[in-house]
Order: sequence, then C-alpha cells, then structure tokens
Amino acid sequence: MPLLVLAAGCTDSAGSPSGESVVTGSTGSLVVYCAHDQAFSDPILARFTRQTGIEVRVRHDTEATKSLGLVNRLIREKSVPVCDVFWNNQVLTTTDLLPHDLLAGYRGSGWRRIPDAYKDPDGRWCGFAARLRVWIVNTEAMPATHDAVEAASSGIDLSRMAIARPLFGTTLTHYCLLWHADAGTTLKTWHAEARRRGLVEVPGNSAVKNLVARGTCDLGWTDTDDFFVGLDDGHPVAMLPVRLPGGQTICMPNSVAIIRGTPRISEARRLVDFLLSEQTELDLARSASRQVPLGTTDEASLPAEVRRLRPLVLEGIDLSELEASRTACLAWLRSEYKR
Amino acid sequence: MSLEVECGWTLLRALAVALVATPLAMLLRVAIQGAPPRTRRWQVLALAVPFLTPGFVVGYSYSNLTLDLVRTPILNELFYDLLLLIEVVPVGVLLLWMAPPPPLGPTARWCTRLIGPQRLQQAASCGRLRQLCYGPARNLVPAFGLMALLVFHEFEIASLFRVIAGGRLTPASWSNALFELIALQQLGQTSPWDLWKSGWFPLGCSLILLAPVLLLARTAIGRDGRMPAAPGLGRSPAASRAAFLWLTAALLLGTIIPLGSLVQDGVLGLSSLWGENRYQLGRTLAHAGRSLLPAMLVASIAAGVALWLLKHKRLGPLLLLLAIPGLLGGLVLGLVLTFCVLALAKPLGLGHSIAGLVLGQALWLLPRAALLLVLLAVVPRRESMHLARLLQQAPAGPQRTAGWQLVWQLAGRRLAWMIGLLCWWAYLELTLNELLAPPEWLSVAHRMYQQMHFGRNAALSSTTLVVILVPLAVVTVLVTVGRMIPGPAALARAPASHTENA
Repeated sequence: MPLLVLAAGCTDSAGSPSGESVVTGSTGSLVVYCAHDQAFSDPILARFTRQTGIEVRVRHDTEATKSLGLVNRLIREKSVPVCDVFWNNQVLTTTDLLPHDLLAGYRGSGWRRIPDAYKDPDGRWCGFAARLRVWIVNTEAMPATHDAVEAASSGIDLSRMAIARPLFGTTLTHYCLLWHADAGTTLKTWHAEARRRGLVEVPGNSAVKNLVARGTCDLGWTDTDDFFVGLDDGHPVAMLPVRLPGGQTICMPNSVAIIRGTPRISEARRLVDFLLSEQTELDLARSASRQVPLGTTDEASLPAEVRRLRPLVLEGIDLSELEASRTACLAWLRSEYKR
Repeated sequence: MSLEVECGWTLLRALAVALVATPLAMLLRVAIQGAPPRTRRWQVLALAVPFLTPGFVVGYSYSNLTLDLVRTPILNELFYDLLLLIEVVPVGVLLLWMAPPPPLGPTARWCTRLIGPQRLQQAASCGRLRQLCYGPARNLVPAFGLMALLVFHEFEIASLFRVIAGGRLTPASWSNALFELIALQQLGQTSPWDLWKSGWFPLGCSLILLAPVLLLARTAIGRDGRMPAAPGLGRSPAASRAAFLWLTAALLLGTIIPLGSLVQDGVLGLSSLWGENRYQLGRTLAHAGRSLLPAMLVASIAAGVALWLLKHKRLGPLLLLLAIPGLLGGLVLGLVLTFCVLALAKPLGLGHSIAGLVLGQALWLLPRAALLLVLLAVVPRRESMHLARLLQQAPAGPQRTAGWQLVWQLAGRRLAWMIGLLCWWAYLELTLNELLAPPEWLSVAHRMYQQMHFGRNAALSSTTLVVILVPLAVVTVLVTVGRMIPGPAALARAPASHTENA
C-alpha cells in the first residue's frame, strides 16, 4: 500500500475524483487562492473539476491570519502572478486589491444573477453565498435571548465572553462597522473596558465556537458557519444575530475575482461562473456551513435554517462605504495590539 | 504586545527552559551512558520518540485542554513550557553525549584544587573563569544554547495555544508575532528591508544562542567526520531512577497521550473516512504520497551535501557556514528565500518552481544531516571501507556481492536510516512550505496544520493519523523488503555449502 500511495502521489490532483485524470503540470491547472474554510470549499472545487475536467490547485489561508495573508501574497506576487482566481470568504479584503490593479473585470452569467449590492459594476469582484455575524450562546449556561445576551455582555465580568482577535477576518469587519458609527469613539472605550473586564480573545471564530460549545465561555461572537458546526456536533448552543446600533445585521458574502494577467483566463472565467451559479449557492446552503444564497434560487430547495436566515441577510448593512473606516480602524488596532 | 516585547518574553522563556533542561540533560546523559547496553537502547528510544513526535500533533491534541486553561494563563504557559522541555532535553543529551571531553577533566580540576586558592589566583592561566571555560562549561554552554535556540524558535504549539484573556497574551511567541505583523502591516511587500527592521532583534538573539554551538562544532568535528566520544561514566542508581521517571513522564506527555487521544478521536473518524468519505481518504493518501517525494529529494540532497563536506576536512568551515541558515530556523531562512525567489522568478522563469522550497528545506536540514552523520557514524572507518571496496572488485561473483553487502552494512544502511529521518522532518516541515511551496506542492502536513486552527474534531484527527502513518508504513515496507535480501554472511556461506555438497 505505501508504494501505491507514492505512485498515487505522482498522479493526484487536488480536485480530481480518484484516478480520473492526470496532472498536466502547473501551467495546465488553475491556481486558486481560497480564504474560505477548506472543509466547505474543497467539495465545491472538486465538483468543478468533475464537471469541467479543469484541474484546480488550491492555497488556503490559516484561520489566524484569515484572508489577509493571501491578499498580501497576491500583492507580493504582482510581478510574477501565480494565482488565477481568488475566492475570498468576505468582500472587504478583496476590494483591497483594487488600488493595486490586480483584478480583471468579467461580467459573465454568474455576475448577472447576483444583485447589484453585492458586486462590482465593472465585474472585478462579485459576492455570493453569505454568512452572518452572530452571538453564539451556550444554552446550558444562559438563555439565548437578546436581554440575556445584553446583560451578560455589559456585565462587570467578561471572562466568560469570547471573541476572535479583531486583527483579521470577519471580526475585523465587525470592528470596522462599530468604528464606522462614530469614528471609533464608542468602540475604543468598549474595547478597553472589555479587556479590563477579562474578555477572552482567541485566534479565530472556530475557537470561539469551541470555547462556548465546551462551556468554558457562555457566549461569544462568531459566524453562522462556525455556529452550525457546533450545533451539528451536538453541543448545547444557540445563536442570535449581531445587530449594530442602527439595528442592521452584519452580512458577509464570499467574493470571487480573477487575477489580472492570468494565462488561463477562459478556465478562470468558467470557475467564476461556476462559483456564482445557482447550483454552487445551493450546495453551500445545503452544506454544513449553511451559507445564504444572494442570487435568485428556488426557495423550497433551501434548508429550513437557511430560509430563516434569508430575511436577516436583507437587513444587512451596506459594506461599500466602509473603506475609510476600515483603514482608520486597522491603524488603531495595529497600535493597540503591536505597541 | 510589540514584536520586540514578544521576542523578549520568548527569549526569557527559552533561557528559563534551557536552564532547567541543562541539568536534566546532564543527569540523563549520566544515567543512559552508564546503563547496560540493553537498557540503554530502550532509554535512547524513549528519549528520541518525544523529540520525533511532530509538535503540531502535540499542540493539536492538547488544544482543548488549553482552551480550558484560558482563564489561568500561568498554567497555560507552564504547560507549554513543560512540552518544550520534553522536546528539547533529548537534543541536550545528544550534544553532551557526542561532544568531546573538555580539555580540563576531573583530574585536572582536582589538581587545581590541591594547589590551593591563593596560588591559584596567582596563576593567571588557571583562573576560575578559564577553568570553567575549559572544564564543564565547555560542553554545557553549547548544550544550553542549542536547547534555548530550539525553544526560541518553536511556533507550532504556540500558535495553537495562543489566547488573550483580559488583555494578557499567552504564550508569547516572536514567530507568531512576526507572521501577524507581516499580515497587518504588509511588511516586506515593497522591500525586504522594512521586514529586516522588525526582524533584526530575533535574528540577533538567535545568533547569540547559536554562537557556542558553532564554536564547539568548529573544534569538535574530527578528521574523518567522526566526533570523538566522551569517555563512559560510572553507574549511578539515583540518576537511573530519576532518568526512568523523566523518560516515562516525557514519553507519556510528549507522545503517548497526544497520539492516544488522536487514535481515540480518529477511530470514530476513520470509520466515517472508510465509509462515507472514501474519496477523501484516497485524496489524503495521494497527497501524503505526493508530499513524500520532495521530502525524499531534499533529505537526499541534505545528506549528500553534508556527507561530502564532512569527508573533506578543509571544507569544515563551509559546512558550518551552510549550517547557519538552517540553525536560525525556518522562518528567517524562508523569508530570505522568499525575496530571493521573487527577485529571481521573472528573469529565471521560476514562477511556479519548487526550486525555492527544495533549496530552503535542504539548507534547513543540513545541520541535522551533519549531526546525524556523526551520531550514526555513517562515515565508516577508512580501513573497513577500503577492505569492503577491495572485495567489491574481487574476481568471484559471490565475493563481489558480499563486498556490496558489506558496503551496505558499513555505510548504506545507516545512511538510509538517516535519509529516512531527514525525510520525516522534511515531510512534517511547515514554515518553508507555507512561504516557498507553489500551490501544487503544498504538503499534506501543511494542510493538516491549517485545519488544526479550526479546532479538534474526529474527522481531522483521523486524517492526521493517516498522514502520520503513511511514512511509517513506507518505512515498514522498505525494512521488510530489506530484510529479505540475504546478508554477506549468508552469501559467503552459500558457495561453501555448495562446495561441501559437491
């Protein structure tokens, strides 16, 4: 068997079904940088390879430096691009690439089916399959109601509340939105107070889920996909949408973009259309991550949990005006965490 | 916490752990070296196994425990330190064992004591500091430095344990801080120099910790690539008991509990892998197989280069020079090579090349390869090798075959084990893989490690188990096949018995 493993190693491809195809060299396969969790993105990309015969090589990012690591790599590799398609798990860091002129425009069939609010008019990026920012609550420790969450999160002791470190990922977006409300005044005070009162900060949202699911903490901020993993594992957890001071929810779509100068433009376009298709949105909705489709889909074919989340997506705050606040918030966080 | 502060804390931890590890290594060396051969073999094995257990597997296995310790950062830090101690003590024992005896032995020290303190002070050449430098400190300082260096560079477990509770970060780790800084401030994006502005402090610390090791290596490596061994020590029952206790605890905490919990989790996941996710299992096996190929390549390169350099005495300084990047750790080496590869990618067409990864991992493995060459005595005695080579040229076929077999027994077999060990390290290496591997060559261990940041689950545990078992299965098959090949004695007997029968 070990020798078979070695032999198989010579012919395997990331997305191919076993034994169906042979590696054609790095120039023949599509290179995808993917910030979306591997467990959820791999089956989608495998299906793409099965359907099209196009090999896909994937580089994922770690939970700790979610998406920022890949964005920096893309910028660093600008003169010698390696990546063809960037599948980000949010929109904000994808738009960081626009000033670097790294994204190629493409307005294909997938782009057309996504509402205007979630895409670039020039087709340089396009959103799909959203997650929501939620409170995860251990139901054995406290009731999962807005009042209970409000009381627990504003109490003297915050040592039983967990968040991911806000330097990266969706917690950074969350912080940026809080900053956006009043140029950071309330956020700065809350953050300093929360740390003083013992707030627990862990590397990523999944660690928040683990802490709450195991009962080490009572509540925390996470994303819907992480919450559902905890729920499916049989833990006593419930969720409530995080609401901003204006009452809006925080909805974070995935985004996809083609890297300018890719020699595999037609394959890249096929992948983009594939990711933005109704089928992919349905697959992501039916997967363990229960992501909410943004384009038109058959409502009846969606799981019940996703149907319940759909109205919350419509209440999501507009992220398009966030760039300036994000820059300012990130500068403050750098000084706060790396001083 | 700034990078400099985190670096300071990491250094403090490195010194503290090394301070505890040094006497422990001394004690273990005395106990193991004084043990009967059969016991010694088991003790060496018990010492080596926790060192060879991948750090990220240990970190992953204990990740839930550290989540439970989130509100007691001191316990979290102490537990992390204990795991580090278990990991580095074998290196200290190895160094103390293999290092040549210091010029001032116990007899010389006894004589200086007999001279008396007043006359001793008058004799400048026998000052206390000099006595220490040429006496016990000669080997203890490099052992301390090397163990501190390893602790200083550890990041795999730290990144899985890293939490902030009430604004207090535990455990501090400069490698993780640098990674975060690169992501946050886009360091090195336009020029490598802004990265060096942040990286000079950890680099300086590493060089200081490394200096005594290099000095010892410079003087210790003998004429023919052999390190003259220190004389054996007498048996001490107290040391033996303490060594037994430590080795048992280290084996339990460093290997048996982590792997045991992985197996416990993994059995559930394996049934699902075998049942519903057979395709996933096939892909993991294939990925593991593909990851072994570059690992074998870099292991062979590192072994070949080290062997060649050790054979030529005049190239000793070059070996030391080439070993420095590897001793400075994967992060420093990887960052330097990242910029070199990016700068050369366009003119040399290296855009999708694996060359950077191969070069990086070969350099990273080179000091380990040199150490293993000396430790396993891969370079055979010249006389024995010469005789075996003569036999290879014998007119009779069976004698020639026996010559080949002898060469294999004298050097080949040990070299193969050494390459196997280097391959294991390359297969599990993470930093250079992250920084230098093109997407199609990202290793299976890298993939596992990324998933480990999402927390423990049965499926991931079983996949990790598969990833660890694949190289071990390959080794088992190779060893079994190797045993089927008859040795020189059997070959030599065969024609003789044939003649007798005739």
